[in-house]
Amino acid sequence: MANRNMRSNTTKVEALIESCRSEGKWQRVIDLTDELKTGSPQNECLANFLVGEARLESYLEENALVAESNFGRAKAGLSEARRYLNLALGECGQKAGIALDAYLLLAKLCFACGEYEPSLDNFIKAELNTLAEKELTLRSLKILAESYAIKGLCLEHQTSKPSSKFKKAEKDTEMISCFERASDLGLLYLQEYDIVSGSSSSNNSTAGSTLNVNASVQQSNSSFAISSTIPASGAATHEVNRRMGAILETALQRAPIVLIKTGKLQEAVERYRIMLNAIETRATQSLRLTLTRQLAEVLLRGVSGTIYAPPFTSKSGGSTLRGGASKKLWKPRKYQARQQFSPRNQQEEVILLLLIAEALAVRDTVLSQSPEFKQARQHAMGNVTAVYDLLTLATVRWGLVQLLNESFEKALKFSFGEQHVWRQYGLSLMAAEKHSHALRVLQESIKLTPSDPLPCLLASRLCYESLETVKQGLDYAQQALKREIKGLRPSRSQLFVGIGQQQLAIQSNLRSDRDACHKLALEALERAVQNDGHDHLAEYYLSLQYALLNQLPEALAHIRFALALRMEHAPCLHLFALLLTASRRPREALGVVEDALHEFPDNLQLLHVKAHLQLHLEDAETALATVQHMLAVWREVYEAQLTGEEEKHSDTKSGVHLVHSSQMSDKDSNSVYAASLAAVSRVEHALSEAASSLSSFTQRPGPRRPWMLQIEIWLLLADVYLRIEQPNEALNCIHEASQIYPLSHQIMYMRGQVHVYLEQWRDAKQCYLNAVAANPNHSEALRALGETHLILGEPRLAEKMLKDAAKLDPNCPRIWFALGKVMESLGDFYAAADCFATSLQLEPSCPVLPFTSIPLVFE
Amino acid sequence: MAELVRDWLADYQRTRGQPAESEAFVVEHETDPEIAEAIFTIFNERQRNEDLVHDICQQLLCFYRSPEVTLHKFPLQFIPVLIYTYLHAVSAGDKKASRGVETLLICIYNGEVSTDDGGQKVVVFRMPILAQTSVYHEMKNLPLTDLRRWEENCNRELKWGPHQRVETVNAQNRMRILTTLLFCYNQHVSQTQKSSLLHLCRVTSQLVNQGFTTKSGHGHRMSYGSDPATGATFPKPSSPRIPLSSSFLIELVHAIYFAMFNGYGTIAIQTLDDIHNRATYEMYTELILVTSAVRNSLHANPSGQPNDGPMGLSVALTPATNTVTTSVSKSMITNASFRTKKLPDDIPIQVQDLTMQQNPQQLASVIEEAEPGAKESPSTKESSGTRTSIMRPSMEGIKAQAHKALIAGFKKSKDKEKDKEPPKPPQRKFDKHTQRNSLLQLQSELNSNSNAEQPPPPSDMLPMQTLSLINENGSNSFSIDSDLNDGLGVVAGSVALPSINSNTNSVTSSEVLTKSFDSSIELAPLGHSNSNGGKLAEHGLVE
Repeated sequence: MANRNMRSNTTKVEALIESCRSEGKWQRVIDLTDELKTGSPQNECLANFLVGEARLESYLEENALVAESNFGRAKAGLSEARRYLNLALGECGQKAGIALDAYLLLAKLCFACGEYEPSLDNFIKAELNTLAEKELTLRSLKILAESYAIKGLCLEHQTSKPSSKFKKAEKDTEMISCFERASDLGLLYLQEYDIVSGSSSSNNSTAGSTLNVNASVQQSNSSFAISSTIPASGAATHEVNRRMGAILETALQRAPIVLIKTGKLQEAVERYRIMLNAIETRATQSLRLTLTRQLAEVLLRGVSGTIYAPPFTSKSGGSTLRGGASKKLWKPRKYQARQQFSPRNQQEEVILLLLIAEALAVRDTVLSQSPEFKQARQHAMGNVTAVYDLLTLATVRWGLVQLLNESFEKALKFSFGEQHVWRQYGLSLMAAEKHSHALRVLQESIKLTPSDPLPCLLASRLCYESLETVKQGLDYAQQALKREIKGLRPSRSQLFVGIGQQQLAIQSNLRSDRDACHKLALEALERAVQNDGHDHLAEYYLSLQYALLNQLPEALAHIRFALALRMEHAPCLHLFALLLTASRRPREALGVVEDALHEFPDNLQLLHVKAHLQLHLEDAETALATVQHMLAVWREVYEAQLTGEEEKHSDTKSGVHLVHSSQMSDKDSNSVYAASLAAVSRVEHALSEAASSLSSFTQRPGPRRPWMLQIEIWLLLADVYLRIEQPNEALNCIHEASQIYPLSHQIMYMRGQVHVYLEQWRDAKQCYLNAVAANPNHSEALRALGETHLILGEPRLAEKMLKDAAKLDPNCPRIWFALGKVMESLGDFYAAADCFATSLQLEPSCPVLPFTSIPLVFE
Repeated sequence: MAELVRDWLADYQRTRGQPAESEAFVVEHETDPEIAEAIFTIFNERQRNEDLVHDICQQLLCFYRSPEVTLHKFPLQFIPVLIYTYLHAVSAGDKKASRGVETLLICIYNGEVSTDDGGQKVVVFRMPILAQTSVYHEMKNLPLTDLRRWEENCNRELKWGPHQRVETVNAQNRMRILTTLLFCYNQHVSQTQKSSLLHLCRVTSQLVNQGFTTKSGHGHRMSYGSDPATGATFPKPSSPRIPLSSSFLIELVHAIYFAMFNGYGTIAIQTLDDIHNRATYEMYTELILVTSAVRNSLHANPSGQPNDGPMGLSVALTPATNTVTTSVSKSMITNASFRTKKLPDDIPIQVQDLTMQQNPQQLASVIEEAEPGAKESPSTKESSGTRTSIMRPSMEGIKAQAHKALIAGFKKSKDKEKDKEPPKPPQRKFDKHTQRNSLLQLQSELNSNSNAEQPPPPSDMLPMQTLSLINENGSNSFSIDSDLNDGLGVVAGSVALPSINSNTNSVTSSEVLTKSFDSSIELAPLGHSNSNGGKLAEHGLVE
């Protein structure tokens, strides 16, 4: 029995009680108080206080103070506690030095019962405003922090409206200062608590991290310790202690919000910063997540660049204050480290905050998929997607899609079936130009949102534009069309079906296939135009379809519609010019191209058409100037991109930067001879791989496309030089081109052309054979080979080649003419006459460049 | 309205050149909120007041060039309206009418992209990384993977600008110029009058919706019957769609986002929907990213609605869910449950080193080679190669392991460890034995001049097995000493010889020994994955 030596025991009991109080073991406090009372009767008052406190706190722990509906019940449940606390108030209470605490607890009690005015009265009695800063025990610290919080909340809830504006401002400032003190003290309390509990239960956790808890698993040699966040033993009690309680948490979050409400935005931002600058504790982890996110939100939503002030610079004494010569007792400790990163502007701060928030939020996400965790999982998922959304908003503008990409990739682990995350991931991959990866993710997104056509359309576009798998793209487009809800908003599903059919038609070599595809394409595009009469793109593709079918009047009509819908559209103008040349109006076409170049001075395709037109009009000298200009433009647009690849990439992609996206896609699809179809480009790709394995050949740095463009420019220049009868210059150009990439069939073809000019027929034949070997579908090389065969006296071979060429490109009059000559030399005059007639028929409607030379366009 | 604006125009004209009066004008102007409203109205009804629009543009230009800061900032709030007016005119092919607006926009653009002393304005910021402590965080409490992931962004700087000044606007640079202007507008947006945000939303909706809203169908348009060859003039659609770029619209979203949380929630959300619809129509991926992010954050999300409180902020208490969490958390796996321990730095290096000398044949599966005596490695080099081949599957094994753990939870993985714990004695013996052998081979490589080297008995060479056994061992704590002793005891005959042969040799061999033990210890954590292979090998042995 402990009663024997109670004198010496009292202090021990008191110490025990104190530690129980600070750890929140209220039932134990009540038990111990009995002991205390029996030990020394003069402690009656203290005992009353302790019992009252314990009852109040344990009640509040069991019943969260939330809604007003609870007030009645709270009053009943707390009547006992109120009685005890009132008992502790008397003179003996004053003597024992607990009256202050009793008043504060009474105020808390009143607050829990919804009695705001009496609560405030109690604060006045406790003289809360005049307290001096001094060292406090853990429990007192908490009481004080909560008291300030409650006072602030009471003032906010107070129903009686202040009489004057001045009074209102006064009340606001008092409320704000209450919240600020509450947040400072609250954080300090939590920090102190961590220190105390950390030392007392050091076996449980080290270094204040919740991560390394399960020691038993870590002892094993596995590199992946998989452990539960909460230690198995004593989890429940510990967990309760870890939480700071609703009152403090509310106060901490409330402080800046109240500041914003009263219009003090800068102070609110500063308050957030102070709270985040405080050293984190175990209890503040989820709070920190909320605060980092909210500060980022405030900065994104309410602070525009010009009124932004970087953190901790406004007060000149900010840094010295942190140093601690005048150490404030009631302020939380702050992060201190040499070489701290301190944001200098808005972007830095927002991104930093969001990165921290992301790390915090991701850590708490729930991977268990079983139904009992659903609520927790959704809560964590909500937190983390909120951060991702903000991160998206903050980074895409600066072209940081790559960063976003990585974040989403990490998110997949816990985002099973989360359609938003999957879609955003797919989009970010698309934006980062990781095409095939993006397609995979979009496939998942298509599954997750079975009614939305958008991911199908995106996948379809990827297939057409980047992956060169037209058939697959067409499937996606048709899927999108099926998902379409008619009549809601215009969409491009129908158009995409048409584009797919059209591309299939262009690619297929079998006549029957081609005709069937053309028919389907025409139908689809007609329907697309009907569905959305204001879409210039649909009109453009319809016009192109008519052009491919050699129905020029319809094509011209539709290109005019397209231009009426959008005047400044480079591909439309391009097609228009080609259509004019096919109608024997080359001078008008040149005019169109020149006007178009006023609006798009750097458009290489238009320049290319211009050079060809000038050649066509026998104006080789000006064509030469045009091509030289093309080289200059190429250098201007691409050279920086190729040399400073890394840096430039962020430039061109960033939202506010140089090139707007239509230009970007221009660049990417700037293939002048778009006759290089999917299959061909694959052949070329294989060849280039083969070439790069040759020791003599060094791949040029940077992406391939700009270099291919340069080759095309050089070859065009060679063509121009041949026209002005300078074969040596032409050879030089070809040499330049082959420096970049020696195995292009176009280079071989061009070399053949030079040999033909020099009448070196054997060499020419070899060159053409090479070109055809590299690309069996290159109809020009086939035709040239046929012509060479004829000159070399091999008419049968010539006939074979020319028939192949005619199969590939039945609308080319030159092939038919050459074939006619071959037939003539073979003595088959009827066939020759037919061929010549076909050639004559086709000649007026032949454009200077094939219609397929216009690259695919989606804008 | 028109009257008000005319007075305003006249007033300023009158005060120019007279300093005293112009000061008064500035003061008066600052306090008068109505004039901006009137100007917005004029722009809305610009068809009726075309000459007035022109005059306003001129006056705004004067303001922009004026040294008075309030006057200088005044025109910035009209940027969205001006852009709409301009783009509307351009899309309708009416460039002449928009000359005044165009000039004003070009002047503001040139002013905004240059600094006061005539240089080019550049906004630079550093890319923050979590690997460096900041005023808001310390490293120790963040997951390691996060820290490492951002290291590559270290010292990266992002820039806005420098932008070239322009003299003329064409289709190629138009969107770029307007995007830059909107960026500048966004920088100033919190200083503009709140009412201008309303106009921002309205004008944005018009920008993105024009040409879409009138669902007229075909009848409305020109008929196909007209002969195109004659080049008959085409009746233009009354308001064609306005071409807009992705980055331009992203800047607009930022402006709208600001409006959303500064008093115009409802209309701003509608406008955002309009932008989103346009984005999905045009399939601008980056824009869809942003709009769907904002839209998602608006429903069912802790970020809050615009009307939840100031700036959509509200107190988000954790307890409600936390109590749920605590009750069930014992078996719940969160992301934090996984903790990547940093592997020793030298492991990846070793993998690379060893794979260098690896032959393709030796990549064959573990099981195949594990059969005792089935394949004898013909040369010492190859045997050292096979040592590595285990590394690869085991690296993959880690991933597989992690994946399994994902599904099964950590309980199962514990079981596994238990499974592995009791190593079988005969196998253990073999292990030591073969290990020695491989060491010998290494040694023989190192000291080619050493005398009386006996080639290791080929029947003992089971390199793959060696490794799998090492792994078996590895899952227990591995003590070098005991193993050394054991090894010497068991295979005394073959091992003892070289160390006796010469003193120098023994020194090097011990070095080699420790080295190879190091590597086997490093292998240890990778062990789990090979437990299967190891078991198979066991069977082979027992039989």
